This record gives sequence, C-alpha cells and structure tokens, in this order.
Amino acid sequence: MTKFNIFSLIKNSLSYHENWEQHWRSPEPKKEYDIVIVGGGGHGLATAYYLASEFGITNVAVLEKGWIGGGNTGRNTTIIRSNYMWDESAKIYEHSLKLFEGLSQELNYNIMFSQRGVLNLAHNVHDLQEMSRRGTAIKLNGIDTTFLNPEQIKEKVPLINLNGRYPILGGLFQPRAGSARHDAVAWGYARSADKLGVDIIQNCEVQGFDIKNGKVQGVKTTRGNIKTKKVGIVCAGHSSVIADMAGFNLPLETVPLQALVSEPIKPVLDTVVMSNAVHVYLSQSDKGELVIGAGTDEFVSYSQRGSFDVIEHIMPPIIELFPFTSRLRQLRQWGGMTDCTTDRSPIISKTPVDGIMINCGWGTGGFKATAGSGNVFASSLAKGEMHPIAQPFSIDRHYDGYLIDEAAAAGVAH
Amino acid sequence: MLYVRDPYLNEMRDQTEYHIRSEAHKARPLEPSKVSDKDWGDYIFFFANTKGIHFERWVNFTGHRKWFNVIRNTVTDEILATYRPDEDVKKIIADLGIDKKDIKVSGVLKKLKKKSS
Amino acid sequence: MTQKNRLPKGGRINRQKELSFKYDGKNYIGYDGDTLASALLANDVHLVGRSFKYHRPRGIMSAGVEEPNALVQLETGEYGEPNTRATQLELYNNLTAKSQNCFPSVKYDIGAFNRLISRFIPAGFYYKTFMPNMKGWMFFEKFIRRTAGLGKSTGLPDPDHYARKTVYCDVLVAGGGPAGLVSALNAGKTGARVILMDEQNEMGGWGLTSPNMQIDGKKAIDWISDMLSKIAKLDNVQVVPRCSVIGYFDYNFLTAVERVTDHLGAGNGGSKPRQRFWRIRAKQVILAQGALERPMLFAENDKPGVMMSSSIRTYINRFGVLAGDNIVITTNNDTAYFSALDALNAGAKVTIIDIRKDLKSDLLEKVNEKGITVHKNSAIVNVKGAHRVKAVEMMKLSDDGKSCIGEKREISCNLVGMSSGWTPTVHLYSQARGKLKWDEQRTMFIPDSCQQNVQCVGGCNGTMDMSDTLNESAVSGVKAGKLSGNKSVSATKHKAVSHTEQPPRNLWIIPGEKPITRDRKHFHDFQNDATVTDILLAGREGYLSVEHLKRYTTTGMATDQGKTSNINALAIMAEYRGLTIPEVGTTTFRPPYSTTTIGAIAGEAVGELFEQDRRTPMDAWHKSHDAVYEPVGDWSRARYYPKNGEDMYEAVQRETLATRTSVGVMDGSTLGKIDIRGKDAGKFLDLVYTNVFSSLKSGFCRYGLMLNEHGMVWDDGVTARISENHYHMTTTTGGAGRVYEWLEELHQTEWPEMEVFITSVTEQYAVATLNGPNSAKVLSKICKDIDLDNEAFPFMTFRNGTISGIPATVYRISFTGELSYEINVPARYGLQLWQEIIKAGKEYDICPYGTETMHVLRAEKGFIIVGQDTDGTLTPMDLGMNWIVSKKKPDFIGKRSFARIDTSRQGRKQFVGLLTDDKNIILPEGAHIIESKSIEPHVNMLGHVTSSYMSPNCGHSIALALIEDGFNLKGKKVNVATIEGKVYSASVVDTVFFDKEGKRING
Repeated sequence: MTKFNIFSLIKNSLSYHENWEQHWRSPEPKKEYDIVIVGGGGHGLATAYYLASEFGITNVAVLEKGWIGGGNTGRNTTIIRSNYMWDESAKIYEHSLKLFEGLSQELNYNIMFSQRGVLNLAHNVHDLQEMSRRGTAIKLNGIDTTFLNPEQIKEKVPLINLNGRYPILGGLFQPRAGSARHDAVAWGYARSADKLGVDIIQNCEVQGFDIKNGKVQGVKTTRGNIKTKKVGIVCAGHSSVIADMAGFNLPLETVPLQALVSEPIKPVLDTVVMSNAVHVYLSQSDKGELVIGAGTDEFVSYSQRGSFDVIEHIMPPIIELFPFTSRLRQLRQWGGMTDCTTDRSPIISKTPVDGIMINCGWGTGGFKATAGSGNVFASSLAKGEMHPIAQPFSIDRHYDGYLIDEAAAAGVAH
Repeated sequence: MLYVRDPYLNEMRDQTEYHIRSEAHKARPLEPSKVSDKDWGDYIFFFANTKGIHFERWVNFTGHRKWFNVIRNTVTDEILATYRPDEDVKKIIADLGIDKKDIKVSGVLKKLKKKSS
Repeated sequence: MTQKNRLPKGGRINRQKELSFKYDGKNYIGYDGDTLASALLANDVHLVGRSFKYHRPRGIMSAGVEEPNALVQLETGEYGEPNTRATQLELYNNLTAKSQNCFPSVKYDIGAFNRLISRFIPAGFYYKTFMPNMKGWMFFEKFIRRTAGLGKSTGLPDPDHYARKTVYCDVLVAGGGPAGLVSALNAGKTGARVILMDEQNEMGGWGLTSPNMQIDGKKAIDWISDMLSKIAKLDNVQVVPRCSVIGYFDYNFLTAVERVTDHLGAGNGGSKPRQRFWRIRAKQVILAQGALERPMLFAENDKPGVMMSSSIRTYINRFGVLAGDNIVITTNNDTAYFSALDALNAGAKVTIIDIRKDLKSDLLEKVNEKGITVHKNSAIVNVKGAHRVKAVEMMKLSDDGKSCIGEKREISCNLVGMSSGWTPTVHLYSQARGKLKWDEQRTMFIPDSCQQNVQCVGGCNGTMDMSDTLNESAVSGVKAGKLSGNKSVSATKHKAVSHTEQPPRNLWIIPGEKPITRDRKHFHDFQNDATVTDILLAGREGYLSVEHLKRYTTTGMATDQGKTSNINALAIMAEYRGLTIPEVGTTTFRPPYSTTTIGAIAGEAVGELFEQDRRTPMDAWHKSHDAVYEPVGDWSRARYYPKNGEDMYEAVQRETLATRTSVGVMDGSTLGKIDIRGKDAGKFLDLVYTNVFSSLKSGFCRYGLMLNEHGMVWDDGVTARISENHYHMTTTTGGAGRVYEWLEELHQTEWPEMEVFITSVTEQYAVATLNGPNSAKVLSKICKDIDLDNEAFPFMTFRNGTISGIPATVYRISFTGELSYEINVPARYGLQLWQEIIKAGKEYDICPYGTETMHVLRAEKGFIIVGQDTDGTLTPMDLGMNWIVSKKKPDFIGKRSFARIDTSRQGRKQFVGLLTDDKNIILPEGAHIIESKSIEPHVNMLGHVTSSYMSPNCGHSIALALIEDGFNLKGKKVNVATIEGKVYSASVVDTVFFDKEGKRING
C-alpha cells in the first residue's frame, strides 16, 4: 500500500498522477469466507477493518448492495461527539471518539476529524437542569465537558442571537468533539481493510440466508451463494429487510432524516452548535457550506427522501438562532433512511439465528459511532461473545425492560 | 409531501394536517397479564417496518382528530388506500389486488390479535 | 461613458433608461433590462472572479442559472449577499458588486499561488496529506478553511421580509419559453386553473435568444407577444415571471421562489416582500424548462472570454451586447452555427472550429456564403491570454479523435464560444422520481416514466425541433387540462421553420498537445475547479461509482449543482471504464433546482412571528406587575414577581414564606384540562390511570398517575368526577397536548366500543390558585354562595358557585400542602377574577407568586414534578408511590411492564429527600450522588439531584433525588458531586420536608 504523505504526493505529481494505485480492489466473491459483513457503510467497513487489524481475521467479505459509504455514512451531518448522559452510551461513543482521534494516522487516510467542539444550547430551566445532570455525568465518566454561560457562548459563536424567542441561558461544550469528512471515513476504512485482505464486494445484494438447524451456513447474493459460519448484519435502514430474510423481526422503524447545506461562504462558525429546544444543529464545513440538520419524518420510508415540510420547518429556527443566515441561499438538501429504536439507543446483539449478529438502530446519530461500533462489533464477531461495551445494547433489553433511554433523557438524539 | 384522501372527509388533504403514528393493526393484548415477556416486548417495541406494502395509522390533528389507517408503499411513498378502523381491511386488500405474501406485519400481530381493529 | 460592446440597436433593453452601477470599485453604465453580466460584458468586463481551488481568473460563461463562474458579492452592509449569479441579477440603479474569492483584487490575487502548486493538488489530495497528527491537521485546516468558501456573509440580521403562498391548481407549467407558452395556452383553453412560471423577468425563453426564428409565419419575438396576449385573455391562467420552480416533491407538490422586488434594488421594495415562496399542489404538471448547453472540454477552456456559444447569441439578441468582436466558435453540433451567424450579423469576425469530420449541413453553406471560415475535424488545443482570451491554438484531430495531429495554428480572437451538445433540464423530473433513459444518438438523458402526473415538453423532453416542440406542448397542455377534470378542446397547431440537425460528434475529452494527464487543464466543473484528469484519477484509484466520483472530485457539488458538468463527467467515467453512460448511471438530482434564499423558505415565521408564545388571560396583570417570565412548553409563565430590585432568590424566598404565613395566589391557567364524558368514562379512566376512578363519587377529586406502556410515569394531575358520566381531568402544562392526543388514540384505536367523549378545554378556563392559611378568608370575601367550612367543603371535593358574579368551579385540591382553592372560571373572566382576588387579599397581604415559588412549595411537601423529578425511566414504585397503583385492577396502561425483569428488580433508582450537612448549601440540580468521597475518573454514579431549593419554611436547603436503592439508604450519608467538581455530604431522608403530618391542609 502506497503510504500517503507529502512525499508520495510530490513523487506522484512528477509522474502526472498516472501511477496512483487503486484504493481498494473490485474482487469477485469467493466461495467461502470466515466472516461475511452485510452492508458496506462506515460501520460495516470499520467492522471488517478491525476484524483484520485487531483479530487477524482477513478472510472477510463486505457485501454492499450499491456503492460503499452510500447510505447514511455519506448523508449525515458529520458530527462526532460523546457527550451522552447514560453510562452505557457514554462508553461506546467515547470509545469511538478516542478511536477517531488517531484514525487518520492509523488508516493513513485523512478523515479530516476536526476537534472544533460541539456546543449544546439550553433555552429554558428544564434544559439547564438536564444539562447540569448530563454535564455532571459526562465529567464523572471522565469525558471532557464545560458549561458555558451566555457571554462565553457569544465569545465562541459571535454571530449567535442570545435573545430570541427562547433565550439562550447556557450551553454545554465538548471541546474534543467536532466533525469529520464522512466519505473519507468509509474510504479510509475500505482502503486499509482491502490491503489487509478483506474483499469489498460492491453491487452485491444479499437475497437470503442458508440457515440449517438454527445455524447460519451461508449467504445468498445476486453474485452467487457464499458459504460462511458467521455473519454480521450492519445495514442500518435496511436491517429489518435483511433480518426478515433470516427469519426474525427487529424493534426498528426506518424513517427519513433530512439535512441541507447553504452555499459556501467564508468562515463564520467554528464550532458545531446544537439546540434540542429549537431542533437545530449546524456547523460549517471546511468547504464553507453551513451544514444544517433537519428532522425526521413520522413515517416509515425506504425512498431516501423526506417531506418538504421538515425542511421548511427548520428554516425559521435557524434564522432565529443565526439571523444572518436569512440572506444565505440553500444549495442542496437530501435524505437518508435512519433505523430508529424506541429508546434511541443502538442494537449490537446476537440474534435468534446462531452465527448471525446484528449492529443497527443507530437512528439519527450513527456516524459518530462508526469507529467504536465497528471496533466492538468486530470483537464480538471474532470472539462469538458480545464485547463488554456492546452488552447493554442487546435486543433482549426490549423484553427485560433494560432500556437505555436516550429519547427520554434528551428528547432527541442527534 | 404526501397528499391523502381523508376517509372521514372523503377529500384530498395535505400530509401536514396529520400525524403518522407507526404500524396499524397491532391490537393491544386483551389480557396483558397473560402474555409472556417476549410477546409483550414484541407488542410494544417490534415493528414490521416493511419495505413495500405498509399499514400505518394516521391521525388528523388540525381538525376532526380522527384516527384512520393508510396502506402505503414505503419504496415509492404512494398511498394505496385509506380507510376508517371500522372498514373491512380484507376487502380493501383484495380490491387493491395486493398479494398476501407482500404483506408483512410484525409477528406479534398474528399471535396476539384477538379482536379486529 | 461608452459601453464598448453595446450594439447600436436590438435587444430587450430599455435604452432610454440608463442605470449606473459600480463593479470592483469602478463606475459603469448599463440599461434597464440588463443583467449585471450583460452590463459588464457591454462594458467589456470579462474577468469577474477567481476559481475555488486554483484561483484561476474566470469570466462570464453563460447567460443564466447554470453560471458557474460569475458569482459576485452584492452590496454591503445589511443588504449584502454573497455568491449572487451575475447572469441572473437584474441591473438596478446604483447597484454595487464586487468579485469574490480574491485578494487584494481579481486581477492580482494572492491565492493564485495555488496555480503554481496546482500540479501537486489533484482531486482528493487532502485525503493523502496534512495528517501528521490531530494538532497538525487542525493547523492546516485553519488555512484550508480560510481559503475555501466563496463570498462573505454580512453577519447581520436580514432587513428584508419574505412571503409565502400556498396554492392549489389544475396545471402548473414550469418554464415560459415557446413550449411553456403553448402548453399554458392549451391547458388554459380547457378551463383549467393554470399557473405558468418562468425564472426570467419576461416570458419567452429560447425565443428571446433567437428572436428572428420563424414561428407560425412570424418572427419569434412577435409570436411570443401574440401568445402572451392570447394567454392574458384567459382569466384562469396566471403568469408569474421572475419565479423559479425549484422543488418537485411527492404528489405533485412543488415549490417555487418569486423574486418580487430584488430587481428594484436593495431597500427599494417598499412594503412588498423581497421574495415570495410558493408552495404549489398541482393536479398536473408540465415541465417546459428547456435544455442547457454543455461546455467543450479542451485545454484551458476556463479562460475569461470563453463562454457557451448560445450565450453569445443571448447577449446579442436579448441585451444588445456583442461580448467580443473577434470570435472563435468551437462545436460538435449545429446549434453553434446560429450563434456564429448572429454574431456575424452583429458585426463580429467569426471563425468556426468544428470537431466533426464530414459536414453536410446546409448551415455550412450558409456560413461559408457569409465568409465565415469553418475548420473541420479540428480542435482547440490551447487558449492564450491571462485575464482575457487573446488567441486560440488549433490542431487537426486524429481519426479516432483521441489525439491531435499536424501543425498547430494560432487564431487570434477575444471571445470563444463553445458547444458540446445539449442537456435537457430534467432536474425537476428526476426530483419527481421520474426515470430517465439515455438517448445515445443525441447524447442526452431524456424523461422516461414517472409515477407522478407530469409531462415534459420541448427541450427538457429532448425535443429539439421547434415545430415538434410546439405541437407536443399543445397536445400536452390539452391533456393536462383534461386530466385535471376540465373540458376537452382541440390542441392548437404550429409550424416553425425547421432545420435538419446533422449528428454531433461525441468527443467527451478534446485531446490536447500532450496526453491528457500531462496536458494543460481541461475543466469540466468550472466552479469547483474539477478537471478531466481528476475524473481519470478517481477512476484509477477505484472511485468508479458516479457517487464516488462526485464525492472524490467534488464534481457537481458547486452552487450550480453541476448543471453544465454532470453529463461530461459521467461520459468520461463511462469511457474510462469501458461502459455505456447508462451503465455508469446518473446522480440524484436534489432540490432545490437553483439555490434559494433561506429567508424565503422561512417566510413570515421569523422574528416576532417565530413560534408565538401562549399567554394566560391574566397576563396583562403579570406584565404590569413586572413579572419575570419563563418559557414552559409553548407558554410564557410568570416565574416570580421581584419587588424593590430583588433577585430571583430573594423574591422566591419572600413569596414562599408569605404563602405559608398568610396567603398566596398563582395563575394556574396553563394547566392542561380535558373534559371526559360518556357512560364508559369511568372505565376508560381506570385503564389510563394507575388508580381507580370509576369508584370516585361525584363531587370528588382524585390525584392520578399516567404511565406509558413501558410502565414509566409520564403525566399526572387531579381529575374530578363532575357527575355520573362526566369527569374533568387536569394534566401538566407541557403534557396537555400529548395526553389529549393519547387519550383519543387509545379510545379510537384500542377501545372504540367504549362510549367516551374527550374534549380539550385547556383554553376555556382561567385558573387562579389560592394557597395558605388565610386563603379561605380571602375567598369568603368574594364568594358568598359556597360554604367554605372544612366539613361542608372538604379536601378533594369541588363546588360550583359565583365569585364576584363570575360563575366558577372551586376545587379544594392542593399542590402546596396548604389550605388551597383552585378556582376555575371561563377564560374571559380570568383577569377580572385575578383582580378581585388581589383586591380581596389586600388585607392579608396576599402574595402573587410564580412557577419558581410553586416549585419550592411543592418540594417542601415532596410532590413530584413530572419531567423534572422524572425522566421517562421511573415507575410509580420508584417514586415511592405504590399507594397509587391499584392492585385490584386487572389491567391499566403500563401495568404489564412492571413484571419485566429489569422493571421489577430491587435496587432501582428511587425517589428520596436529601438534606445537606451544611444547611446553607443548595445542591445544584443535576448534581450526582457518587459512591466515593472524592471524584475519581469513572467513579460509580448512584443517581442525581432532581430538585433543590432553599426552603425558608424549613430553614434549610432541601433536595429531592433519585438514588439507586434509595429507600434503603434513608438515614445514611451520601456524597454529592457537582459539575464544578465539588463534593458535598448529605443525608438521605424522606421526601416530605415540611408539615409531615399534613395538618395544614385544612388551614
């Protein structure tokens, strides 16, 4: 694998960039793999990478129906943070954040993780109480966080309007949080996994499973049958569809989530700003676009598009919070399909089928977990036992009541 | 943005006048104390989440506040039918010519359904 | 001042009305009817900006929405606006604009340093470097951020206002060119309600670019006004200029934005909105948006002075501007010949470089006749000039078109027109989920099929012949009218002078002097500086899918959304992979079609009209008595009433003491109120509350808890039985809406057989709550017809009566533990009631208090506030409220979930009181109970403080908390850690801090 750095860039410049090698192969599927990952998004590719790099399991295939990173990995607002309230959540998101901190170097691919900080705003007394509770918990979990008063917020985000309809009373700031280049996360993992021997097979749709006596024997795909004893399903919005093929049901609903960007402008916003009360989260990309998260639709949809009213409802709050945005122009909007659980926590779990594990339910906030999720899922698949960080996220919590209720804790989890 | 025939008004209305509330025909067990933890969990948390023909519940929240059901294709988002809870869903399905195998409802429904809704 | 390039006559401009404007600090003159772009070109200004990445000098490339280069910073101060397309900006008097992305000026730009290193920064270079470590990247990132971005935001609030409009129509026609006009006329003739929108300031589209084309025996320009006057006669057709249809969503819901007063100039809109956002539900849609010309990908094709061949023609015919007098036109198709002819007629010297080998076109004869030299089978291999084209270098093409051969010839010129075919504007069709098919012959994606009620006509349907366009438009118009429920009429018939197109030659990459990877730059996405070699590099590195290509090279991601670049990029990738274009696929066209002001989409719902708050009937009094408010849900509630400069703490201490000492009054109008009637009302309430309501006697009240199906507390309140089949339910302020909807849901979907009628009456009643030992004395002064004696009117009952003549229902319920009366009157009497109470209470120093004092008073009694002391994860048992959970009822919502393993286990978080060792320490709400005495990383957290206040009635601080196994910790000490890192010691106690015996409830 060509090492990426300034020298290789110069060297290749001298040969007119004619000699760069492909970042990943386009192999034909083999007859059999030790482990098959269904879904070539960030989580699936990360899983494959860690299987190879941490557990030495390289006879692995990642099956992707379309193109890698084409689902929610390539459609999110790229926020990475770990300021979650419940211990179980804090653990996995912080595990992820820590992996992200060294990921560009580890993968030798610049994922442009920029720790520009994430600021959550409080607009009423209830927000402040919740923030104090969450902030204290986060601190006691050893994760960085600071409470900012309105003056400190104004200093950090000069163009914010403190005195709108819902005045800003304070904010919780996580300095190590930030944003990254979402596509690059998928590509970086793909490139490194490929080089370790993982087969990344695009345009390969899973159509069923070969299951005997409750044990998985193989995967049926549009490119033939593949034998395997271990399958990891990591396909977000399509999880229920794939699970259905394996004969079980999931506690999920797949709903559209939309986002939009403005035209690029010179830097006006250095941190990621989130407000649950007015349902806004936005940041400015390196390219200069304001990246704005809109909400989810109420209905199940597999069409990767949402309702326009979700987009139009996000505009007044954005202007309320940042009045200057009124004269900017919207450039583009898009939608993804998010697999939502009732408690807004993910599922990383064994399934009723022996040999099949599933990693889904990340809902509207999965990007930030890509590294951690892939890492603990790889460990679980390799060892056949759930990684300790993953254990609380079992499907079983829906039967025994051990929910990790981020929905109740924060209203919405982004 | 969807456009729906309100079965109470019998006219086309905008989606924005409605809330859409998850899967339809998921009847609450008549005697919850007699169902297992597994069945109870299935009832509360598990959904058909169908890619394709989906049965869902809508409620008008700007006017008459009535609940009704909608059959929608979740791939094209086309609404195939809307009907009141007291209408005969089997007939509606037959009239639409929907193949039974294309209908996925969360497993719990089959097991727990003790009354029609 | 002279306008060097302005033709002596022609164009749609008003030469009587001169407009002065300033560009990059220099003054110019243009005419009414100009765009900024046409006015600049009239003044021979081509260089208008610098490119995104390499900071290459760029000129005006088009005359419309597809413009990638000519983005300007418009105006300054509060009206300032970045990234405005000069080609769409109508000129107004005193317009001021400047070029973007350059410093210190567009001519001498420091950023042009990037050109020198351009060789080292191909597509995706940033993925390969700048990553020594986290800090290193963030150091580099700072510079990258600074150099990226286009224009500058003002950072100021927007002084303009915007409007929104929702309309329903039979037929929406998007695009007002010849096709759109004929469609609208024919649809209109059916009687349909038709809306015709066009993004330009006047209708006519392509007809304005080619005004001399013959249609129905007339010049196009006259034919257009003829059509418009016919349309004007139809009352059912609305024509909206300056209005871009930008979004096409499900069920024929479309959005459009109309520039209402932009063309009048900043601040000149008067009372009219700046822009109007249209939300349209159309039964039928006709898309008549035409087609966009594609640039040709030869070396150095981005120099200022290189523009689309049709744009040269538009500037001549529409604006009377000849952008250069020595023109080279290079093309692979016939349409550019018309531009050549018009330019020649306008007085320019014209040379054509046609990449096709054999030309049989009648056009060839025509241009030869006029003395235009046509170089066949030839291509431009270089464009000379820095800030403006000076000359092109031309070579012959090899047979396969893969390389250039022979002698290099230089042709001097000051303008280059290029055309590499046309791309139908299928954006909206694709947004509508329309499927496209590839037409190999004409190299274009054309509409195939769509699930929505939409037809495409003319250019955007791939119909390039004018007669065909007009006739299919007429038929489509009639069809749309008929399908939307109107009468059938016969379609109008049309005849235009046609020209038989010779097939184009499709060379997606125009070869240069050297192999493509080593040649000068061939741009395909001008704004994002993406070149042909970037596509090849992406292919080489494995970014083969169109979406990967797009994301890796940033092709099509600029503010023009790839209008001129998409097909070229696709085709080159297809060629690289040895596939056909449809095999490679097409990218998703995402709304909006053209960039749209965020303020316009928001419409009126900003500033004072943003999520308007709800106020109680007593609000005028609160306001005039200096109440400090807090938002609670969508309500604004009085939080406290400071006196003599008190802060919140002081005011609340005073209010809390005064209420328990004498009497206090609170506005409780925001409380959710739901009227429940019917013979099954009691049975229904038994299912939604944990306790029994069917056994409640008429005239009595009972406190109830509501759970969700998970068994977790989610609302509470007191419900009274008014009569046998009639209950009055109260909910929390924030829960009013969701409880009401939930009750309806349960009734309609689970228990439809029950006879229950549920009505929200929150806003029908105003509520004043009297609390304190003197409350009965105050009430007795104004209420003569209710016996307030404790025996006659016991706790947890209600009475109807009158208060100062106002009909009232008085509930003897209490959220403070004091003798208390909750007085409900019709909302319109709320203020009067309040004033009467204040007047009557004067002799007892009645104290109006707000939500904060309410919180302290209830905390002294250990009463929960749902949402503050609960978080959706607590059962009634966790809250120590087993007493309210019926053991007898076989079922109620949430009951079954109690039996689950986690829900039934011992040692869950439980609701307890906390007393700090130091009575003056008020624990912060949200502080955590931890296992150790000091804060160590990952210390075990046992729970948190939910409520905490200084209680003046107890004489020490009090707190409520949720702690694991809390009930068993009573009497024990715990450590409480704050976010600041302090740790306090506190004792776990009962939740009732004050009047544990409950004696005060009867005064």
